[in-house]
Amino acid sequence: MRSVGTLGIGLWLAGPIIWATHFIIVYASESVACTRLDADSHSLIAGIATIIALASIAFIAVRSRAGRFRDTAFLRTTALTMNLLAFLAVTWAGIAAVLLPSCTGVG
Amino acid sequence: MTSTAERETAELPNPLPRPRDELRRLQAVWAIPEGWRILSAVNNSVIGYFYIGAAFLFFVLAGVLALLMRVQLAVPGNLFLDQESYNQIFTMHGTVMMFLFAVPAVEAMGVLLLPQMLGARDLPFPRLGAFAFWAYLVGGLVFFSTLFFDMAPSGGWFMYPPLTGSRFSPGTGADFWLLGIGFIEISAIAGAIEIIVGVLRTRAPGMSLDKMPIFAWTMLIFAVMIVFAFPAVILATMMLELERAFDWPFFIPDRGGDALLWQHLFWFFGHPEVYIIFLPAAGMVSMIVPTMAATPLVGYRLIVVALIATGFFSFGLWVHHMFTTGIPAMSLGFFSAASMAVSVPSGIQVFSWIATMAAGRLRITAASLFVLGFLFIFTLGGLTGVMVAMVPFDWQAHDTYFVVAHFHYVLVGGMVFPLFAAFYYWAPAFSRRALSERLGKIAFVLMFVGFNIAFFPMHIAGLIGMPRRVYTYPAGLGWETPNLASTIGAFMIAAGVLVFLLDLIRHLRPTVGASAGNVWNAGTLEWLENDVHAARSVPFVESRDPLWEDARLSADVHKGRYYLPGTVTGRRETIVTSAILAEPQYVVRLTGPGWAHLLAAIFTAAFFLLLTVKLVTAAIICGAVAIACVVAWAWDTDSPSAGDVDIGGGIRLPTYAVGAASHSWWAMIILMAVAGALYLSYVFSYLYLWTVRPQDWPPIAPLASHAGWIASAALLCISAAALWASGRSIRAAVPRLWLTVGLTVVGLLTLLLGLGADVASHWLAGLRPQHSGYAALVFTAGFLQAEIVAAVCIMGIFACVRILVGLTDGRRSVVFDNMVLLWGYGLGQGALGLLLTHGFPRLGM
Repeated sequence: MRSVGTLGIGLWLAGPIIWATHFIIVYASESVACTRLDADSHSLIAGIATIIALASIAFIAVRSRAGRFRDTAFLRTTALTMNLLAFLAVTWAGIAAVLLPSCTGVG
Repeated sequence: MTSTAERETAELPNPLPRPRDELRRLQAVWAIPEGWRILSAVNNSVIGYFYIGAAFLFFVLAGVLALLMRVQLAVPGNLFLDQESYNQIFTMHGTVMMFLFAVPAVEAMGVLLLPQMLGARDLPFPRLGAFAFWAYLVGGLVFFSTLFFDMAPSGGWFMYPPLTGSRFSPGTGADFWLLGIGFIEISAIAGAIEIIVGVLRTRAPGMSLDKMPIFAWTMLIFAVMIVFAFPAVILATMMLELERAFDWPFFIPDRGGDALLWQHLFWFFGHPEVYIIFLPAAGMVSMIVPTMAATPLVGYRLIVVALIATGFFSFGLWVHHMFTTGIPAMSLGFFSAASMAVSVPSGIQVFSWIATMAAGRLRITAASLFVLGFLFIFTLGGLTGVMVAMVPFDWQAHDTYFVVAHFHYVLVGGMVFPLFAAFYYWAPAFSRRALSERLGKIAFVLMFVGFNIAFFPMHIAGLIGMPRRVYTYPAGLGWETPNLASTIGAFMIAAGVLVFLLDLIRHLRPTVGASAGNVWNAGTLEWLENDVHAARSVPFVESRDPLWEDARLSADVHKGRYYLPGTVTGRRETIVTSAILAEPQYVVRLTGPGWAHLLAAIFTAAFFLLLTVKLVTAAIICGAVAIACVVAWAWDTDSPSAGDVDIGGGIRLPTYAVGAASHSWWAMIILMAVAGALYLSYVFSYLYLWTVRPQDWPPIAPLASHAGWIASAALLCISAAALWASGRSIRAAVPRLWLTVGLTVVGLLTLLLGLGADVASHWLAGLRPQHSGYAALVFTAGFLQAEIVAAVCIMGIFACVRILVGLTDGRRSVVFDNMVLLWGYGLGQGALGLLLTHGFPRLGM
């Protein structure tokens, strides 16, 4: 195992960090969109955020196989698995955000 | 990896025979104070024992409260407890179990086990750990005894306003909760800082992150989660206390506050809290299963991933506690999906343990039985967790006994059973005798069967409509049978705990130097022959289970053939290594026994508790004494360099480090992360209230003039310039220390004035914190900034005095550097506060 530096640790945790960012954007934008804009704009924001998040996770996952973590099986496999889990979690939450109506209560 | 055979020919770092008095000197510097002076001890093994003992005491006390509740509910219409007593008891049961038992218990296990497991002599800040323990013990005991004076809180462990506001809870009970628990959380954070730095910086050489025991991983993630989760509830308790004491209406809807804000802040802490408790317990299981199955853990990497993913995902679930509060449909679906996502990493861990058991042959010991019990109960709790993550089901089950059953399956299954497994597993490492397998198995059967008899019927009681927190119920609703069963089960659990206590009395003989030893044939370093100074020498680690890989390791370590076999500076010391690869960097000298940290803990507790009963003058005096004690304690912690020292194997290490290499720098950065998380929770509160109550924002409310923020920003700029210049002057080729002191004083004064200008501008514009939720939040920015400024000023005065008496200079600069870090943070927070309270309302949205 070799040292990867602060940026390396950030890249290693990229999947969960992107998940968290996506989460905050989708959740926070609902309150703002519903009070200041309209419901459709939130579905659009959530959809775009989800696509960007998924694309970034996939990009980083593919790149990290060859890049900084090439020499270290531990960092490579753990980074890849975390990306996989984050991809799943973003898809899961993203689908709910895009498909369900924004700004309305239930029933 | 070097095999054992190659190893025999290889040179170990230190030759035999070792000098005659080396061991004696090592033992002398680590000696535990005798008699009643043991209260001044700071060593992790002594504090670890105390800590676990105290946590277990609170477990028993809160368990007794549970029994009282079960007696009351055994039959319908029971008159054993009146309603108010019952409310106090269930509030205290939940609060004590969560804050005074669960978190401290796992933190205690970390304090006791981590140094030995990582090959360190002690944790990096022994007095801080001792301070955290004493503060918790004193605060916790006083908090618990409020029950005896009918002064205990009665608003439930999550303390929802408006019920807990001054209108509906006028007594001091809620204040005891807010100040008492808020303060115990501070102690948890102190422990978390110590654990993070300990895990990342004091591992044995060679123990890179991929060779670290899973328990250390879980403690690291546990501590990081505390750093980000606890500030949210600290802010919430602060705000509710400000509302109760000074009428700042954060949570009063009639006056521009919002009661749901409390729920957001509380559950942003409260949900991760469940995993904060569970992860270390899972870490203990990951240590016990491989030993009992005599095979390495299957899926080490997957477990690390699962732990990190759980750490992240658990922060995205808090709204699932609020499904019935009328939030929009999309949020419901969004949080429901996130709640289900977190079950994936938990599932990974469960399958890894099952695979490990399948790969080896599980010895059926008391410890493994508790682990099996954990797997069964926790998995059931996880399944009902997926059920309540479904919004339609949650609407039916919310606030019924179904939820009570669910979270007891998760928490007792996920934390209490692993903890008992851990007691049976690790007792031989810390006691002259192992605990009794026979009594352990009896305790397990009673607890396991009792638990299921007690809690399974609660699912049914809940589904047929029994709400939680009712102090009695009428006959004829079908609730009698499940309730009577629950009561019988509860007493069976108690009987199991009694058997365990009997086992402790008969067999536990705490020791630091003569333990029963590695009776399970485990593979990790805590099973080396330990003494008060931990292992005799610090091994070089080349695998995850070093004792299995190298049969001679234990003997060689004990003979002193590895690193640092004695004391090289005549003081307590441990090796500081790099965070990822664990390469040796320097030898840090640790603090020994003392009284200042103990007094500081007692007076800090007194400060908070006296505030509760409104004895303000006495409280302020105690607060001042506490600060004086902290200063006295910190005075001799920054020892000057003792030159380079030889730890063996041709490795010479410095004895002083500054900047990012210093362990002290890391602790300061983590403290800043705590402060940052607290401030971000505040920013969230401000923006949240704006989205639900925009009508209270300017122009309706008075807005401070431009002059206010300009003056404040200018003062912050001057302070920043002074900060930069003082840093340069202390490191100049020809240091002018008077200049450094002068610049520091100017910088601190302008920081203070910047805060004053900000607050004054709002005040002069006619805004008062009592006006509305908005106004209260504006002044909260000043309140939070004042806390940081006060801390920076104390540290600044401390640094200046040390510079003037020649104890701090450009080389021996840790005290100054730490002050500079927090000062820089304070400038950033001040600037963000200006942007938020002066800039945001001007956006005109």
